[in-house]
Amino acid sequence: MKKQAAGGLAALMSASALVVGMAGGAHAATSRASAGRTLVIDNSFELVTADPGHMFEPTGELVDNGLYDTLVTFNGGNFKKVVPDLATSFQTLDNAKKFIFHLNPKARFSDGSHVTSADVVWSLKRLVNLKGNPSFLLAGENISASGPETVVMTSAAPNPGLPYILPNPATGILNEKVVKAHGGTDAANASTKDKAENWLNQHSAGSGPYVLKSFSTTSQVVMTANPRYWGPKPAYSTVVLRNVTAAVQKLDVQRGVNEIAVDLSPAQVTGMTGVQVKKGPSPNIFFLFANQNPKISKITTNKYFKLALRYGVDYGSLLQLAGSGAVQTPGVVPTVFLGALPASEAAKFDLKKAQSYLAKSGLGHPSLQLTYPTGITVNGVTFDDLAARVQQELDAVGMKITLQPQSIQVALQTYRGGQEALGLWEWGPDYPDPSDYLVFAPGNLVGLRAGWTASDAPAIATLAKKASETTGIAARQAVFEKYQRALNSYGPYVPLIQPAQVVVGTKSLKNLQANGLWFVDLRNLG
Amino acid sequence: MADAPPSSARRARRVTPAGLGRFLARRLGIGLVLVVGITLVAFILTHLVPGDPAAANLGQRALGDPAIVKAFNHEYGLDKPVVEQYFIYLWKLLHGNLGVSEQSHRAVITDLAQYVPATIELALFAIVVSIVIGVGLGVVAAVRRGKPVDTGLRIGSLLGVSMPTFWVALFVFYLFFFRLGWFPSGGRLNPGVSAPGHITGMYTVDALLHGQWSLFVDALDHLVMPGFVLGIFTVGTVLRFTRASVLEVINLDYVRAARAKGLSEWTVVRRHVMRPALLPIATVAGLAFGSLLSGTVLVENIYSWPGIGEYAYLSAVNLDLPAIMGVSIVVAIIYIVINLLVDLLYSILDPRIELR
Repeated sequence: MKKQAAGGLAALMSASALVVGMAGGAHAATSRASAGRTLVIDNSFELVTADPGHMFEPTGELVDNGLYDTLVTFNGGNFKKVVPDLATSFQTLDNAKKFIFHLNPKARFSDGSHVTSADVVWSLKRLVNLKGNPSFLLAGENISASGPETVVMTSAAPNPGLPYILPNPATGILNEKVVKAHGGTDAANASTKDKAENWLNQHSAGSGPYVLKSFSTTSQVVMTANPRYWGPKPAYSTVVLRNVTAAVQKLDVQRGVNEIAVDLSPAQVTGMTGVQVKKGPSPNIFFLFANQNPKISKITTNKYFKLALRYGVDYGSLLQLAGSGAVQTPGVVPTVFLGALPASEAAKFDLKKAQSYLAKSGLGHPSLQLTYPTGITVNGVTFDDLAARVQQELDAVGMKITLQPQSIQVALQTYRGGQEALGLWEWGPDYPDPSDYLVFAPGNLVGLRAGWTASDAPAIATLAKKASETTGIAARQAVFEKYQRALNSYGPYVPLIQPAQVVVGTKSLKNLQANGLWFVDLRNLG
Repeated sequence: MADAPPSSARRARRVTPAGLGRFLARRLGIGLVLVVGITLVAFILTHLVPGDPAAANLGQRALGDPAIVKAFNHEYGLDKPVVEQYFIYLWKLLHGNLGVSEQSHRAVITDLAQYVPATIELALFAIVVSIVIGVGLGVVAAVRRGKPVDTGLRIGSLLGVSMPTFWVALFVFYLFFFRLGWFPSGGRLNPGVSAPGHITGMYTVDALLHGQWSLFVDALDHLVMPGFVLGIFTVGTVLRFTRASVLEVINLDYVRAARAKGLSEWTVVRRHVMRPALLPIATVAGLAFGSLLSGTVLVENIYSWPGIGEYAYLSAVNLDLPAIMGVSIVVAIIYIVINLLVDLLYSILDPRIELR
């Protein structure tokens, strides 16, 4: 009897094994379905939509960069210089209150129709009127056409950063006729009347090198080459973006089953062989702030406390934590953008100086909480690890720091409300221009979160206004340097580090570069 | 009573269609009340979380623009009093409208139609694996009670239920994908391969229904690793329950009588032991299936399986109220349906059990 029972079990197990064997065997036989060259990019998706008017997430930028052309763009990872895309050239007039863009007459949408100034005006007005995440990019801009291939953008205040805003794929140009036919509108009430997003999540209506084949915010996005692309022929017939965790990305690219992994940390790529590893400083900055509102804290408003903070952080230790490729950020503007301070002006760790400032503050050994969003990772660096390291270093100075991790929703609420005494946060660029960092000025968005009003530092507020209006590359570089020096000396911030942007690809890829805005440049990859 | 042979079942009262109808109507009524109760609890709990959906879903710059925040709150009805929001939700629910997800900008029902079948497919595979292996090994352990095989299986089942999911998932992934290359790394299909036409949303089933054999094999290929990992944890539980259940029955008088008639042990087990022993196993399997459906988040994350676990996690992180409510309702309905099916199965396995 025992033999028979065991025999029955063996049959069951064999059936299971057969299923596995059948599928396992099949794995070797099946492959990517599409003909031609296929590029597979692994990414931990941060993706909501493919509609440029609503899109404002990192994965969305990668997708829309492949589907839509913008007026101007960046070449590779150089964010200091804009290059033509749909516009062959542009003029800056009236102290950067007026820009004229001249469209390339060769530009065609994927349905073969011309890209006209009407399409540009309609797309950009829709972006503003949708009142979505990216709408602020062109807030205050009056957009019009002065001919079939000429677009004029004017604003009441100078906007010298506009050419650096326009490469953002959220400003991608849509085929007006097609999108209108599917519920799109650029009317003032577009936020409630536009119904095109769902359609744009299943189809694309752009002039980029690829068209959308399928879109899922949780599994994969498939793009195929645009057969009517007006620029150089796309290198791949199919591009697939897959949503996978960083740990899996590493194994995928190492085994060569997928071509690119974009979310690996410097620690994860250490020792990887047989692949290309590209890394450099990302444009994301971590910073500490000490709230300047005395109602929130009597400690953090003490000017010597802030100096103790600045000299008490061991930046080298933080860089070690972030791994190879990370850099210390000398000011709030990342080193890869116009207007950044030279590395030589970065704060230097000096424990004795920090202790001396703390003694001068008269606070003794102050106790306070360091608030930060827990569970969030930026370029492989977690807020939790960074906060723990900062706590350890400030403990050596004589500060008693208690870590106050909060879920991102809760942390954002206290941060927005200016309720955090000492905070650890990150700023990722909305666009690669120093004007994006005027939010740190007193009375502006981040300034107010740090309890720092314009009346607290009127001179810096005036300097920020001047920086927002200054035109010319050299003049802007100078004024933004001055602005950041003022922030470093008198502001509530301690800029910490820019973690490394790492991209790993198979050896066969050409022109692979780490791109701090949209991970990799699909248009340059070969 | 416990010692009664299954033949007594023939004497049990038969379930009439009217009785079955009354039973189903009553259970569905209770289920409906439960679903409404669950919407209330989920709604209250979500609002008790000290967070702001606008802050969780809008970018920092957008948050600085009151017009954008206002438009967001208006779009999702967050500018209305909480009680009004709840009744609006119930009214829409009554019309089959689960609202629009704040994170995906799509109708929640569309999201659920995409994610729920993926998880059901995974959980079904896992439950089949765990029942086939767990019941088989449980019977062997019981039949060979006290022998080395029994000891080994008991230790194995203990390991099965106590090993951390993420660890097993990573180990299996590393071994079978990275080292051996037997299975793909994740997802539901190979990169770029189009899904079969939607019928059930379960790719293996839909591919078969469309007669697309290679697509079926591709989908099954992707299902095996996460399915087995998910099933491993239930195997241990099913094995232990089966062993205990079989041991309760295997030495009863009617079983000994069957042996005395000269029947082989396997025939005795199959004909006289398994049926009464399956009752508690049906309960365990039913509950396990429910927990598999609602507890797949880690496996889904590691194997890039776009199911409801991942969706639920993202909904919670983004304070996406319509999605949280949608997931809660779906999970509740699944549990209600599974419990109903288990009760019906009880009456089929043992007709002495009356449906009331």
